[in-house]
Amino acid sequence: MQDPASRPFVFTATGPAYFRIWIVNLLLSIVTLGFYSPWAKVRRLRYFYGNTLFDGSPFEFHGRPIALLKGRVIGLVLLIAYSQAAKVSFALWVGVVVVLIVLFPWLLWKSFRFRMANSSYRGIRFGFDGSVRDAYLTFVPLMLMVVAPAASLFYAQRIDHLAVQKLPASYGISVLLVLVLAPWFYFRLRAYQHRNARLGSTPFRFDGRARSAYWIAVKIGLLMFGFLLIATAAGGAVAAALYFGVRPKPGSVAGFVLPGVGVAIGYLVLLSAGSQPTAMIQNFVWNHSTLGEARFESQVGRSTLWRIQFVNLFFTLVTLGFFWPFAVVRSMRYRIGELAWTGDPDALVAGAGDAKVGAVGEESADLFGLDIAL
Amino acid sequence: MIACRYFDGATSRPWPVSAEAVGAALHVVGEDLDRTVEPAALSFSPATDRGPARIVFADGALCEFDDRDAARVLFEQLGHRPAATDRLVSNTRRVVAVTVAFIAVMAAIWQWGIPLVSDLIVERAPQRWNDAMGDGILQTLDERRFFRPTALPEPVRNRVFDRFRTLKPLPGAPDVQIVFRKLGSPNALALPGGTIVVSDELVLLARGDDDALATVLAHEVGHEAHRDALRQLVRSTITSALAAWYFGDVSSTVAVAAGGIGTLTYSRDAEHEADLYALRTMRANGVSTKPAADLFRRLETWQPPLRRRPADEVLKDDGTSSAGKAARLRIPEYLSTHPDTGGRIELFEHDGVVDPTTR
Repeated sequence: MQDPASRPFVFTATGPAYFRIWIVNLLLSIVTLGFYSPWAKVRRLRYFYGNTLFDGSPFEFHGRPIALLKGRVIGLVLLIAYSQAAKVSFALWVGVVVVLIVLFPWLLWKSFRFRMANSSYRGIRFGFDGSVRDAYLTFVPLMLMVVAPAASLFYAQRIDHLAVQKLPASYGISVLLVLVLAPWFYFRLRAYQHRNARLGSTPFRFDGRARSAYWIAVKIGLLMFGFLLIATAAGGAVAAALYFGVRPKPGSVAGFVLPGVGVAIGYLVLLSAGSQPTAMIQNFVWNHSTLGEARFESQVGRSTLWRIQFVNLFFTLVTLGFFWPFAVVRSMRYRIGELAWTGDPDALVAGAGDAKVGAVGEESADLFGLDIAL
Repeated sequence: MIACRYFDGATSRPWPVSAEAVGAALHVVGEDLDRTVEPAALSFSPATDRGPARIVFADGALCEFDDRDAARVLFEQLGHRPAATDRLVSNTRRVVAVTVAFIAVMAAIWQWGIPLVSDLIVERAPQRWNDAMGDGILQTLDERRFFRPTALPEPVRNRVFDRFRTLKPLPGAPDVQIVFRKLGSPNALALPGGTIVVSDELVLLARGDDDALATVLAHEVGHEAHRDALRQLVRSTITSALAAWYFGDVSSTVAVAAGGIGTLTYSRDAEHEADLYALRTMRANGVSTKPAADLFRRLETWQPPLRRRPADEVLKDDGTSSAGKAARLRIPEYLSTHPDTGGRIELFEHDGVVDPTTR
């Protein structure tokens, strides 16, 4: 039952308009060998924010490309360190992994703060007040639990080669731990994000329970398995129908391409399965969130979203990617349109101490633009 | 005067106001509100699609305009000029030009950019890298039982060695070591660092024709001379990175597939270059490559040895097997990694001299 006070969010972007921005972004990014990409990202975010309306007013993104560039450089340095350390020595690689684990909660915290502080609605900035300490308490135990079995056995193997027998087992345990802990990890991540955010001086709250997250994870698992079966059956059926209908000579090009069509259909079905977790997670996270005292409502339909994503994927592949901006707009329009808030958009108040919107160069010096896409 | 919504930046309550350009300044007036602001203290957000246009004040206040056309006129009166990239985006002819340019750039990168960059890297890479790659691979493959020890008797192996050693190598040819292994199907591989692996099954299929084997070995030397293994690695890494950049948002599966297709295309070129190298080597030694063409023909109808066939299988008079299509569809690995066998047979049949009239 929908609350009578609830107003939906509206996404007013269109495929053709976003295509223009997307293609210009792509060309400039490739000819500058990626240097342009922070500007491209800011452009894209400003376009999406500016076309997300609530009660007729758009959101706004204030991030500066230079800040994002700094974040990218840091990301690149970490990536290079990780990939090159293994070639120098095992100890160095372990050192880099430890540094990454130590840095990860801090990087996450920084990126949430950057994204929130650079977003606003009707002149009022968002904010993120989560503490760094909470970030560490939330994530470090989980990461250690996942990494510890593999790491310890790997280290043991270096000392005593007999332990190499147990290596597959330790990887198996690690994989199992990841599967079991992933829902919890993701839940803690979204909870940390939603519980500590605010719009002006009005806080967000999140009352989801971890056990609901696990129940959803189980449902997702079953759904994915079901999709795998359907994808195999559909792909096989199409391949068989084409093969026995056309009966090409073995070894000929047709004999190779026709089953390939079946495989492609199967893959399409499988790829579009991602719509199911997307729908379920969006609904779960937002239906348990409030801003002030007013709840959010999210009613993304799983089958509707699947249809949208299947068509998106099909045309994207057929057009070698050029349909992608249209695809993004189609699915965002649906997902945003199913989100609503029951609160009063006229009753928000700016946070004391937040920078004003529109002043030049107001970002605090320590917020370099780390933005992890989540 | 244009109607708009005014927000004071302290609360989200909308004030209905009117806005106009007075001189070059913005004048906003409503109930309890009368402001005049210079454009220097304003930042303009033109409307995109069906969202409102906005003007943001330095002190955090802002105006939202639902009438986008009127807002555009007002912005112009206040001296706002769209940024260069905005001008690019709003002009349809330019967008078409950008799209064409993008396709051209991607095609150029695919056709010339990636090969050029990877060739540069490979040429500058020290020989140590190549050797280091190869040393580990043979050992690992032997340990993991992908390669089984050869069952060929020593005289046979020595005969193949000797025939190969009598060939005069082309200038600049690298030193190679030839090793024999049981691979399960006729094949020859050029590992990085100069080790060439020849399968027992290929030697048996050659039926004592050492010239055919020498041609195949010369082809593998071509791979070593061109550092194809390293080249392949570099090319596929760059191609995968490019595919991940382009398709990454769509799906990582698609990105990986795109990268894989790119790699296959480049390997066909590498195979053809190695064929040309073999032809040049054999021509310089005055040896015909026709025996190699016969060897390739035999490869096309190669069957796994008898003991692996089902017990009730019978070879029919026309040479086909009663085990049916499934048995024959098992393509020797050599053919799947060296495509376009028909063309190669033609090439080697005529010692590399291709008669243009028969094409």
